[in-house]
Amino acid sequence: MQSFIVNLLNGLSYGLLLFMLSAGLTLIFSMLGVLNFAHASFYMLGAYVGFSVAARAGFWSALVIAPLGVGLLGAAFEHWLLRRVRAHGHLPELLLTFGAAYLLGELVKLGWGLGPLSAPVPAVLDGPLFSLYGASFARYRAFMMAVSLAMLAALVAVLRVSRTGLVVRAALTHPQAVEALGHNVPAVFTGVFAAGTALAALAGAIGAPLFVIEPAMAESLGSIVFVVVVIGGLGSLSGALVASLLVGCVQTLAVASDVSLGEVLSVAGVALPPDWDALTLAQLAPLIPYLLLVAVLALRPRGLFGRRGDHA
Amino acid sequence: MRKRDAGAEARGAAARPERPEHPEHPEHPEHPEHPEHPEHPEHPERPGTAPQTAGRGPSARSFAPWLALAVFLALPPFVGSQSWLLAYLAQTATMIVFALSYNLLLGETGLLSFGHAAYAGLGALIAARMFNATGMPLVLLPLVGGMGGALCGLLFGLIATRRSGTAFAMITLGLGELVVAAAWTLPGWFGGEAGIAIDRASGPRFFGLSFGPAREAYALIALWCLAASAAMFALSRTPFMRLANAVRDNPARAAAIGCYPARIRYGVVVLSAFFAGMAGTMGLVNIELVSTESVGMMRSGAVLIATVIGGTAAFFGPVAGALVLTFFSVIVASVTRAWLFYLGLFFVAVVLAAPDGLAGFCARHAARIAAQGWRRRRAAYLWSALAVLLWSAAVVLAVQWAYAARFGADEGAAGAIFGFGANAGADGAPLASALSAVSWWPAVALALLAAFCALTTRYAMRAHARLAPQAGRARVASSSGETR
Amino acid sequence: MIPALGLYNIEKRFGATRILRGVDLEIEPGERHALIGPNGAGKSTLFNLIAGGARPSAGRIHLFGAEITRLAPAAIARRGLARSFQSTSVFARLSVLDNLRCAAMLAERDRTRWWQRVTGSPAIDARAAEVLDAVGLGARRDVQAGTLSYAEQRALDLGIALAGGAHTLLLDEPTAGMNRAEAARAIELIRETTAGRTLLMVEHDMDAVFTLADRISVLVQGRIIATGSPAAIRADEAVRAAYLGERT
Repeated sequence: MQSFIVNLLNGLSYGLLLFMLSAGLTLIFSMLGVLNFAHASFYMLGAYVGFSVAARAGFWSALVIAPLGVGLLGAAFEHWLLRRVRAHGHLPELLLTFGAAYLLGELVKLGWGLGPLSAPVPAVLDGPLFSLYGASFARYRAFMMAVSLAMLAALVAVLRVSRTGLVVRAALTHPQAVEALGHNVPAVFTGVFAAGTALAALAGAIGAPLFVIEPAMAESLGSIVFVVVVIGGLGSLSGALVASLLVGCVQTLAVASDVSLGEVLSVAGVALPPDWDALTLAQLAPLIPYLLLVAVLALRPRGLFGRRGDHA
Repeated sequence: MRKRDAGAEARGAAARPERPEHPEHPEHPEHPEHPEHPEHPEHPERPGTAPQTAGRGPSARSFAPWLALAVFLALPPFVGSQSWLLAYLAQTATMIVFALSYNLLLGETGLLSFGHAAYAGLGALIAARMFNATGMPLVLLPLVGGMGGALCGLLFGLIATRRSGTAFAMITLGLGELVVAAAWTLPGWFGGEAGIAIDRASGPRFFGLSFGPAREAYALIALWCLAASAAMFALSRTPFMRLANAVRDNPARAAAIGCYPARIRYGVVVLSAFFAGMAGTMGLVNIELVSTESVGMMRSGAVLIATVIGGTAAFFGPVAGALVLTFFSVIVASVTRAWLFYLGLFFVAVVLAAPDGLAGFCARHAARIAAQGWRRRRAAYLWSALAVLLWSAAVVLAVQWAYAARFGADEGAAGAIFGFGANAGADGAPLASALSAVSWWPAVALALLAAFCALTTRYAMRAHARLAPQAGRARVASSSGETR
Repeated sequence: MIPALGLYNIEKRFGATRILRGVDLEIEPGERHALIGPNGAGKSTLFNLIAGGARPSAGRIHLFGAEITRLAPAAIARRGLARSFQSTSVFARLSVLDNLRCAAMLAERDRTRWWQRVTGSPAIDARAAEVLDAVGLGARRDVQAGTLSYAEQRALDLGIALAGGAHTLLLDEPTAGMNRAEAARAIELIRETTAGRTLLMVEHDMDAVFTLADRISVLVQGRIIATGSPAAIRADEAVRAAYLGERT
């Protein structure tokens, strides 16, 4: 029980990190209508750039410089490349981001080599925040949660309260009308794309000390993020939040548990061959997001908060 | 290659007045490498002829690509059956069937799938287990693999076809990753890290052939490739595929005529999974092994890239794409480790410049040449070709230089050329410092090349710009006779 | 006599806004009924509800006595209700003939013969060719539908609705965007091809409405304010007030 709370908090922190990623992705999808397949690659780039900057100028500068730099790159990508194929429809846009994901992956290997890197946790954030019956909750994770929540609050504030947010929300559904009113809609598109990728890079820079930095990180986390947005309902920020927390908590709790598959299924009275029985939930953890996807889709094809019109 | 044009032109040209080409965007130079702005792929520029309907006889022209494919696959007996050639052709034949099966989803029904390798790998797995368990003849194995794939299609399709468009793509991604994760985790199923192996020669002999030698296995693969391609071609002519096209073009309208789009999609998923399973089994016959790589995301990405590069609108588009892909993944890969980077660059270039793929690109320009004459367009094409060549040279130089800096002696000859010793760039060390510790001649060469690139690109853009108003004039002249 | 199409107290709300506020209408079999009204009255919304694209917030819809209120569009189409669309909706990359063959394939008697989707069927081809000639597109049979002119696409749109053999047709602004000559031709086409079928049509072109319709309903602000023969509607005070703003 004692470790359950800590594990739950760990799950929440992981879920909020996922939310940082899925929020940016949902914003870009709602705005541009295209799912940015390279989103996780920008996350990875943020982690690598953050690593390099932190090695020279310290952790805190990395938190500022990495998102800025990657955001600029994202803006350039949208402005010069993505816009060019927009006229051809959403499919070429998606394919372009898919190709960009490949290229970013190779560029990262070129720039930093194939091996894993480990980013150090800054001294002030190192160590446990509190201990609960022997299990400790890391300070760094609390920091991560704080940043994620702050970012969420800022996002809500900008979108709901500010004028820019108003223009963005209007341009979501009626870009031509907004343009006719004199707003520079293409610039808004670029801005949203840049903001989304900057968020992803921030997530990368922050998450770097917790996870290993390696060229494969984009693919593994990327698939989870895409699954999260589908579970939450494409285009819904609240859905992305709920789904991120759900996936984060379930997966973390599974990894932390010692329960085996046999034990779980014996509750239902199902018996399995011995080598299947011995499988622990921790070993099955990688499958959990995808099993959740199947379960949610089977029961509710539009996702948790998706709009009805979405499914044909 | 152009299933839509074959035969129809001969029939239609006499019967109706000259039809102007569909209005296009004026060719204006934007990107230096690609002077023309491509039109919307939904309305490609060609005389508005449509797919041949069932009942029209094939013309000599439509046999040409089949002949070419057969000749290509039949190379070994003539050129000499070296093992690398057989390996390359076998992989190409497998990828051809794989890409054609993928195009049933993408080109015909408008469904983008990121997890197609799951069907191929699972079909191969089922075939491998059947082969090892029952000792059935190897000749029929692709059929078994196909049915295994179709079974998986029946299962996964239930989940995937509940949505369409982007959601469908992400669901297939999730399902594909699920299969990969399960293959790694669940014991015994995929044979763990080693995978499941078969011994080709352990099956019953087929007219004296044991299929142990690579030659015989290749013959089997090539024949199945032709058979599967022919089957998919026949399938693409059926009215069912027209319904799939309708669902692709306008799902709301399709529903309004009484068609359930989800059911049609489901049917196509199952058919596509069947042929994917066949392709996976052909791969199994080739390397005698099915492993977690067979269902991996790398393979799913590869077939997507192959199909998009080749072009989704023509039947033989994916065939061309498969050839391009195996060119990169087998031939270029044997020379440099940067092959994936080159493939990515080429893919991005195709998506930017020719979203309808190589097949669409060729069809468009063939139509323009037909309309304007070869002589007039010759200069523009020559300049463009030169520009592309120079840009490619510059890119290759830069990329190889960078890779040599990072991976040093691992790059082999390339590393030595650039003057790098063993593993010049340690992991984590930034690239720039590694590059700076090197000879200067690549930099000079690059600068020179870049200058030439800029020059030729300017000429190419000018040449194409000169052609554009002529194209407009030709269109106006031919459309003046039409009443509206 | 069972009405072909019955709308009973149809309401539709989008959030707090009520678009349709209780629409009642019964259309007899074989009748040609026109629905007119100012922009924003809710005509397209009503069409969408009937054809199954959206669900009414309240009320029922009956097709020849059977309730179709909550059915999917494909199910409603299979019961013999076909529609054409306001912004033309054809299968752009298929040939004109293939457009019609797709619709013909799903007609009632051929729907269950699934093998015909593999082998093809001369009967289906013949029916498609018949409709092709009926809408006057015989010369364009192998042309890609997306490259047709606007008027031709509307004719094809009508053809697709007809090829499925539906007994009830919903036509959404069939003469929109046409000049006088084209509109007159379109109306003639509609008259010829829909003989014997029930027709519900939304139209703004008054010439078309008054020549073609047996009865007219006027939809204003989500409610039908008048239903009757063309002459009666022309003379109706409430209609004049709604359209011309006359005070009576």
